[in-house]
Amino acid sequence: MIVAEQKPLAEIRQMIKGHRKVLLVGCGSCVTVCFAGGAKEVGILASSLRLAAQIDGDDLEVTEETVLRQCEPEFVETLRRKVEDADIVVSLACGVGPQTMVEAFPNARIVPGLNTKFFGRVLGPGVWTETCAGCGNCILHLTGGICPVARCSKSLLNGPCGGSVGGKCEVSPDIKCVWQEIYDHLAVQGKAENLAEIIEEKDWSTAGHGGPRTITRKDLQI
Amino acid sequence: MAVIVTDERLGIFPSLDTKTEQAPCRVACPLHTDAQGYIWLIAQGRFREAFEVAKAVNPLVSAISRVCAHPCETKCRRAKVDEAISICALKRFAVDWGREAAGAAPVPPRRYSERVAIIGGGPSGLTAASDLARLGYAVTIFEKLPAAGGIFYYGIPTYRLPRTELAEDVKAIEALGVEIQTGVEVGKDITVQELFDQGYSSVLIAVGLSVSRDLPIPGAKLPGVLMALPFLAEVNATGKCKDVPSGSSVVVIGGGNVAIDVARSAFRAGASRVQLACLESEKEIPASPWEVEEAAEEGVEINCSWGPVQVLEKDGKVAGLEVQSCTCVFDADHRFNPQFDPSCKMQLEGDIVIFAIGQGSDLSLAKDTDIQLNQRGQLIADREKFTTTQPGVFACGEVMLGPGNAVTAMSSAHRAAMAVHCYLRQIEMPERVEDTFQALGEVAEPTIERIPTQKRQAMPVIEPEVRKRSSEPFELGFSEEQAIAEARRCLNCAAGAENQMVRCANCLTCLRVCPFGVPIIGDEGKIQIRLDQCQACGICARECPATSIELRRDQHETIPAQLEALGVSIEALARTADPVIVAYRCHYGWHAENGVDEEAPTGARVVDMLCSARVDIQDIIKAFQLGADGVMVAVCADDDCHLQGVKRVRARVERTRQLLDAIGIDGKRLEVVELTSPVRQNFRKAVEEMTHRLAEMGPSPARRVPAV
Repeated sequence: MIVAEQKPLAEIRQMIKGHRKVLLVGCGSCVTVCFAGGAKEVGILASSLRLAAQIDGDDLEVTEETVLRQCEPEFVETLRRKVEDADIVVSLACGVGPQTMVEAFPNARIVPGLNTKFFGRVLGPGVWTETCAGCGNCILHLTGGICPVARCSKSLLNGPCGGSVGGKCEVSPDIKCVWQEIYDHLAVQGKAENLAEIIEEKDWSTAGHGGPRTITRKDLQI
Repeated sequence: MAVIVTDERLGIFPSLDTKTEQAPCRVACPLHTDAQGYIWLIAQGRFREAFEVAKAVNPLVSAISRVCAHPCETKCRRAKVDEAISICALKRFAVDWGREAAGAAPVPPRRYSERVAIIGGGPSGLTAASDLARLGYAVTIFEKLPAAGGIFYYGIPTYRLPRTELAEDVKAIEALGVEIQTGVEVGKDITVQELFDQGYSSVLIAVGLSVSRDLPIPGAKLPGVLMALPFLAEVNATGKCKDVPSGSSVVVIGGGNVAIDVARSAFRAGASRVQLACLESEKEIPASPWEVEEAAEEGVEINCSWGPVQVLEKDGKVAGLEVQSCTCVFDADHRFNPQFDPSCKMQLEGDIVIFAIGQGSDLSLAKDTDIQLNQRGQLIADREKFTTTQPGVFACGEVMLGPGNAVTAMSSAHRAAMAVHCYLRQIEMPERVEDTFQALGEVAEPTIERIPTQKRQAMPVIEPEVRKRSSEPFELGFSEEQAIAEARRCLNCAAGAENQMVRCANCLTCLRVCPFGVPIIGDEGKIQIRLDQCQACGICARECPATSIELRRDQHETIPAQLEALGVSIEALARTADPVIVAYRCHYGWHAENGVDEEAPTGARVVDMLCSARVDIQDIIKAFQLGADGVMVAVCADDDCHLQGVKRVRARVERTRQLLDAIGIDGKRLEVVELTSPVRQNFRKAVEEMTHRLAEMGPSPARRVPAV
């Protein structure tokens, strides 16, 4: 899923400064799951904004909405009346959400309430980690199912580098050396010798380095 | 979404009436009493409302709470964890502690012109009368004996049911406008036809089983051979029986609850020895096991698997009872067909023999009417429609059902009252929501392993040697502490978490935070919160990032009202400069030690939480919005939380502190306090200390204070 986290309250308050009617729009998918922008977080942010405004004597009216997926124009369209009624909309979705909103409501002022971080997974309650880089050309079959593109600090295709010490990355002792993990995993499977084979240089054009990516499926087009 | 009942009598009480899955206790109760509901309320110290819930389906709640056979407890799922909840004793507690404060009888929504005559003022007659009066009919009960109450007045011993309790129920029924004419025997003093002639539009026969049966055995007519019901009536009225001189040796025949009542009453009437003989084996004996146990404690000698042969005679008087071994009571088809071994006999010496082998009805009222009896002299009645063979004449209770427990008879009375109403209004019998109820399934072993055991509270009783000579009630009732401790043992069956699914993101948070392993990934590959395993701790509902989980029975909705009642509002607080603390306090932790007696003010504005795990971040922010200078979350000591929610609420508070800092309210204004023993003193001390700290910090920036 897409993992995001909420912007600091001060930053959100700065963005909405000068606006009276604020609409908070959450997203019921990825960012709900990572506790950044679901209905619950929308509610907590709304309460926080109201209390902060009360302290500062600001006249602030906050309304709350959450759609199932903010990246879908049809879902976003259901908010039209509320968006038009608001002075500003804070989107609590990944970066796709506000842009979908902007497209749907070109006259509205839409600002992001989240910082979108990565494609990741939950390691345990309250901990998420980056696991996929969306490079557009998956090589997991060559690396024991563990992605060096996303999880090696240098995205090395033939690691580890000299900075791998005791299974840790030189960038931080909190980061595991993914190439150590790849080696260990393949060794368990009895396939460590696979690593003797050099992985050819990768075509990075699929990774976004060739400009924004689009997928077109003619069979699905209407 | 639970239906929230808000009326003056019930406060805010989420009703589960519309739900299919119900607590097994409620399903097992013939009246479908919402036992989980009143236990939930007792756990919160809401005793008056608990009483209202118990009374809602039971106009004889005071009496029943003393004598009920409580089939609910047999089905209680807590029994698999340790022991069943003491449901009946809690109902009695609700009566003892809640009745006085209960409001007046509700006024019927409308009044009909028709009058209804009810024959018999026992449990069924009174129940039907109550219903019909509440529906708006003028009801008259005709009771042949001098007092209303039937078997409750004349049969049940006073040591089990003080007549003052019954009188409270009767008084409340009369307050509905029901007229009770005692000492009027229909069939003798007035006929059924005369009732119709007098303008009654319908007659309901609820005469019960008022005649004790005997056995045609040799010696049955000897002086000194007594019948159960007249004996009980006399002992109940006078404390003794003229035919049972002090020091008598009494032999009771029978193994039902009436026989046990007779045996125990015999001691109270002055007997020095009481023996009981019954056909059934110890395992089969139909009397309630606790009654048998209590009788044995009092010294009743119980002889199981013996059938009476003859009453022994000496000098024209009873000398005892000869019995023979009963080898089998029921045949292969479960029909009553006792078999004996005449070669195995014994004699039970005694000078009084009392038959307590069952009762029949007095149906002399049917003479010269179209009300037909079958060949065995029993009333012919339709058990679904409650009709008899005479139009307009209905029947309910044990005259129709045969012997059973009082709540079953009363259940039929509810339905019969509805049948009378439908007859009079010429409408179809409505379907009953209760008929759709289904009991929750078993608590699974992995769930049981996670539920901390808690001992069932024992009913305080008078010692057997003392009580066996007293007609006073021997069960003393729970104290507040006991009642609340017992109520918190309730597993809250069917009152737990429900996923609304519409908003659910299947994020698995509920699965991860549940202390009882209730949510699972179901067959459809989606999260499934198993209602039958849920303990209603509320943790998942507060943690759910999609706000998709609701508790069927939540008191969260009461928080705004509680804050308002506490005077927590910007306007109200603008009149004081003193530091204002809102304390969200765990009700369990507080009352575990204190009961609910009048609480001296602590200086904090206390909002009771049914487990602090139900405190939400927004509840805390709300308190500050309304002008609180500080918020305290008072939790059980970690190990004491039987719902294991304290860790979660601590984490929530920590996050809220950071939020408050960002909002511009010092996070130190939010504190967690543990309710450690002595709870009251420690809590007071914590409030005092926090008040000092807040005074030093000055008023919250979110409130208005009066200008100095």
